[in-house]
Amino acid sequence: MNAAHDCYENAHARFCIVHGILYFEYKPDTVISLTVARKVVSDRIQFQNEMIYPVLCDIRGIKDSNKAGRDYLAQFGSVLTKAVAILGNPQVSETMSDFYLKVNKPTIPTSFFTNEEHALAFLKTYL
Amino acid sequence: MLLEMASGNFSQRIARTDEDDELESLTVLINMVAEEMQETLFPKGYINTHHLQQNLTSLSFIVDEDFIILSTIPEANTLLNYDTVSIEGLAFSKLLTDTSAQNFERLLATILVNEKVSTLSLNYLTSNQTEITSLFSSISRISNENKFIIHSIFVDSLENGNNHEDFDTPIRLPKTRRDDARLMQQVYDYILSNLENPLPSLKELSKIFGTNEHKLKEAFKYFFNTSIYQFYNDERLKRVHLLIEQTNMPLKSIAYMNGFNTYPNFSKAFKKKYGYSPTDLKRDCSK
Repeated sequence: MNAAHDCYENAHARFCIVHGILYFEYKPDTVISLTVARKVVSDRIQFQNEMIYPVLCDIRGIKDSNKAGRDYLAQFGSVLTKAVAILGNPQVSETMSDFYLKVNKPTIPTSFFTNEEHALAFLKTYL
Repeated sequence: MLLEMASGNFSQRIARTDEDDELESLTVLINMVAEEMQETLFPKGYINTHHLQQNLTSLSFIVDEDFIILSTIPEANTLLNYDTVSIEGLAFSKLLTDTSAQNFERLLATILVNEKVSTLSLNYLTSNQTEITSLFSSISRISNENKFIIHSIFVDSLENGNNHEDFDTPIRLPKTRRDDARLMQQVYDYILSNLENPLPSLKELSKIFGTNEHKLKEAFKYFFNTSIYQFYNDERLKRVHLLIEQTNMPLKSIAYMNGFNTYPNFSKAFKKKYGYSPTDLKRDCSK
């Protein structure tokens, strides 16, 4: 069993596993390029240690992204995840998330939330 | 509206109101832009392969049997910020990031005996310690010599302006082709989101998408330049490669998780695409 707070941090994000859900928080002013996307996915996969989790992804720290980064995340960012709840603010975060959902088409169930409780409720159905 | 355009649908329009303000003028402008783009820029009925198609650069290196760089191209200067003289004589792995260098070293023994081309993923480090990821890299022996050539392709993310000379003179495609595009996009996305299952037969796919087998096969090939099966196979092998390289998951689990029914089929398909077997990639992985 994992400890209640099992955490890891890299240059771009912080991730913790709590009660079977992976909490993933981008650090402020992150720009998602292909390099950043690869690093983030690679570290997350290694941290998960072969187990599959639902993921809560807090994108409030994302300042910008480019197509290569988004495409990479849409394809490989879902590896070893059951579902993703994107947590963000109603303006910029929501627009970025709408774009990602509509255009990059992530391959597993993904939804946007402005409220952490709703996000968790969504993810709990995938536990 | 803008979301529709970005995903390839130029036929939507924002409803007009009787207001005469900045917002309305913006509405008018966007509608007109959409209409223009629909008619001129994307006659094929824009399909979105979810990767970048333009602005690629490549690097090549010739290395000896010890993988010391013998020669390279001037591009190495612009991309990696080393001058070509100082690169020659350097061990190739010195150009890579630590993790990438480790992966590379692990595969060296296999590459040395490989008759065919091996494909890898390489991350380079420039002289100012910036990381650049290559989209695709390959290494192969140069016939009849004790040398190897390494190619890496990169996305050129520097500002490049708009390279519109890439577009052919627009030919107006019939409406049926544009409808096909939308359908093929759905098929494409469906396959991508179901890579963990075996590919449904052409018959089943044509039922799911309400078309006939011939049209499915022909239209997919027309828009994506590959067969449905080949695309499915390539995409799941990409995922497999990532998983093998980055996790300690047993190869059998990775195979079954990605739609392969038997391990030998998996191993064969992997070797065919990459030039080395899954166990070669996994060997010496720290447990």
